[in-house]
This record gives sequence, C-alpha cells and structure tokens, in this order.
Amino acid sequence: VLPEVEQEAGRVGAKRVKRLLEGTMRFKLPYNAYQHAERVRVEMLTGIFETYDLNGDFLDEDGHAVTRIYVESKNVEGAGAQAAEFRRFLAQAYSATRMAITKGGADPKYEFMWGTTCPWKGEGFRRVADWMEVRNAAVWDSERDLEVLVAGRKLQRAVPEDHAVDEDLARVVSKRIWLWVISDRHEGMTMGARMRGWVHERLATEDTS
Amino acid sequence: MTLIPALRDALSDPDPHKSQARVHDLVAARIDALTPLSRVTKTDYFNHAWAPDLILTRGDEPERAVFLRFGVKDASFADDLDHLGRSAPIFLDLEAANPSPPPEEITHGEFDLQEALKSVGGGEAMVTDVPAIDRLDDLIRDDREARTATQQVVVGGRGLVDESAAHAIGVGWTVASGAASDADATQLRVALDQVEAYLSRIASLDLETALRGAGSLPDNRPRTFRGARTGTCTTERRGRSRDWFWPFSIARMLRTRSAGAISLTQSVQAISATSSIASASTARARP
Repeated sequence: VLPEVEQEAGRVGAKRVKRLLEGTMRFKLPYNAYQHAERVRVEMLTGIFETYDLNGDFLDEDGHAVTRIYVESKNVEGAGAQAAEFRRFLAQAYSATRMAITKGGADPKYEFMWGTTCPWKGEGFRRVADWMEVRNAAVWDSERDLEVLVAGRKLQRAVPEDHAVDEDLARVVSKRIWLWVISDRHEGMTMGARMRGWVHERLATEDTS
Repeated sequence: MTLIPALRDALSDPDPHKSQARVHDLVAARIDALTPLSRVTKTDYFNHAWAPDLILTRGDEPERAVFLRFGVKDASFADDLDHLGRSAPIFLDLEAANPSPPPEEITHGEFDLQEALKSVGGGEAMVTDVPAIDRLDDLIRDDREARTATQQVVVGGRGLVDESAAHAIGVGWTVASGAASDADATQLRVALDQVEAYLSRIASLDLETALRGAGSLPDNRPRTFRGARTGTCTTERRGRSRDWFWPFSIARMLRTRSAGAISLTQSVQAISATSSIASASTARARP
C-alpha cells in the first residue's frame, strides 16, 4: 500500500490530468485506477494485466471515439525513477498492442500517454519515445533479470523471454505514444466557466437518447 | 427494484459505451420521476471533468447540470468543486453501486466534504448519492404529492444530501403533510424548515410558492426581486415570516370543503393566505 500522502498526490494528479485532457474535447477519460480497476487494465503478451491511471476514449476532430487510450499520470516533484518506468511503459505499449492483435486479429490502435509534472534527463528528450526506443524497451523487458528491481519494484515481464520483437509494430506503436510534460500554466489554456456555460446550453439541446 | 443493483449491473457491462448509456438511462429515469416540472436531457458525456452527464431543463432554459462521479470523499473531488462548484450543479456519487470499489486500504486523507461544499459557489452545489435517490424514490412512491418537494430538492438542493438527509427530507415532508391535514401551522412550519434546510433560498421559496398554489391565493407579504438563476425567474421575500398561526378563518375555510380529504397543497394555501392577511393587518396597524 502506498503511503497516504503519495496516494493523495496520485489521485489529485490524475484528476487534474483528466480535467486538462477532457478540456480539449479530444478525450473522454471516465475511468481511473482508484475506482475502476477492471476498466483501466490491459493484457500483456505474457498474460499479466497492467493497470493505468486513466482510461477512456481518444476522439477525432468531430468528437467520435477513435480508440481507447491508457494514461499514466506522474504527479511528482522530481524525476525519480521515471527513466526506468518510462522504458517499461514503452515495453507495455508494444506488448499490449501485440497481444490484442494476437487475440483479436485486428490492430486495436490503442494510444498510450505518459503525463508527468517533471521530465527526466535522457539521451535526448525528443527521442525518448521514438521507434527504436520502443523496440529497445521491448527487448530490454524480454531479457532483463527479474531479480533486479525496476523503479524499486519487482516486476513480471510484459514481453516474453523468447519473443522476437516486431520492428514494424514498434514503429507503429511509437506513433501512438504521447509524452506530456504538465505545467501549471496549462490551467490557462482551458475554457473558463462562461465558455463552458455556452457548451452546456448546446448540450442541453442535443438529446442523444 | 432499488437503483443500486440495477446500476451495478449496468456498470458491470463489459462494453464501456453500453455501460455508460445504461447508467445514463437509469439515472435519468429516476431523476425524471423526482422532477415533474423539469425535463431531463442526457448528454454523450460520462463522468466528464466539465461536461455534465445530464441537464435539467424547464421550458427552453437549462436549470441544473448533473455530474456523475465515483467517490467524493477524497481531496481529488476538491478539483471538481473548484472548477464546477460555482454553477451550483448536482454531483451524484455512484460509489455505492460501483462493482469494483476501491480497496479498504485506500485512504481518504483529511478531506472534509461538508466544509469543502460550504466554501464554493455560495454553498449552492449539491452532493448526493444513489442511496439518497432511492430514499427520495421511496418517498414519491408512497406519496405522489411529495414530488412537490423532490422537484425542489433536485433543482435547488444544496450541501450534502446523502441517505440520512434524504430520510430527513422524507420525514419532514410527511410531518408537513400531517400538520397541514391537522391544520397545525406551527408544526407545518417546523416540518417545512426540516425540508428547506437542504434547499437554496430560491428553492425554499419555490417550494412554498408551489404549495401556495402558484399564486392562486394572494400573498401580501413584502417582496423584493432578487433576479434569475439559470433562467428561472423567481421572486424572493425579504425575510420569511415565522409566525404562522391558526386563525379561525382557516378552520372555516377547511370546513367548507365538503370532500372531507384535503390535500397538503390546499391546506398550505389556506394557511398561507391567512398568514398573509395577518401580516398585512399587522403592517397596517404599525404607526
């Protein structure tokens, strides 16, 4: 169990991420890890399920759902162990997509977002989620020593030990990774109460039943 | 069927979009039953940060937004109150019907919902939950006339209206009904105060106006115009008369009704009219 302060920071951070993203009208994120554990998890190639902080729909320009999006929210003061956590996040994105294709036959086109209040130093932050990083992360996860902790935790593999990483899929998945550094100034990019009131009025006249 | 198992079943639907639509249908139907004067419109948004799940309208005017939420007892809910509280919406907590509630060890910190509610939007936002809606539903099943009160609770309720508050509202209404039948003005005032403890000033006045028969009998007490709330134009009295009493004229009025049974509305009309006459008389008597 996480310490109380950490739990609260996590919940508050996820709530803000949800509000800021939904304010763009391109996301609907009704489910979170604290209240809907069943809705925010996705199966990996190894058969384990990984959970995310938020889950919902990624919408097109007209507001129609395109696909599911899984969001990891990091409400942190410092970089911490995000470099390792993010590598695992990339491996999971690859693994979940591969698993869904294996089970369903079609590409689910899942999107994966990492939203953090503090970036970390890497080998060129702009390249931190390119296709080679996705491939490398998948290879790393399939080969790593399970006794070595990842960000302080012992984790099962998301990618099986004998898995041959599909580079084409790594390229596809890399285009579905979002890396967002959250700033307090984002609050100034959202609609105010008056604008929201106008939209409310419009919503009231559009009965979807 | 109570709302909790139906909602739990809907929330368990493996298809999230179907689940959301089923939840909207269930909640909209219950709120619709509680608000005979309003129309409930479903939106295409579920548990959204700022777009309401349901919108109550009266005529062409939006009356109140309803936001569905899961859990309102931790600090993350303060974000909702900060950003939405000023528009005095309803937050309906579905946690009681959540098929996968948070484990026991998840803590709520030191967040105080009651205090947080008082601090935003003049305390006009309302937080309620599924057991409370079930209670109010029980009330109107037993007494159709109670919809006069539930209409105001939904449209103008404020603060925390949980199951115990909904119970208190039901008791208040039932006592008010009895007091009106017994022509007990003092008891009627006390009982209405019990209901109105959960209503905004405007909703309290609307409740009493509704009871007075929408102006079918005169009310001569001093009034001052306070303006509109989301399109509903309401007059508000400056101060409320607490000295309801039972003059003989009301007894005469009630005796003249040959049907025997008299509705709460009729009784309150009668009591209110006499109270107004008495207030006007008092005002004239002053130098």
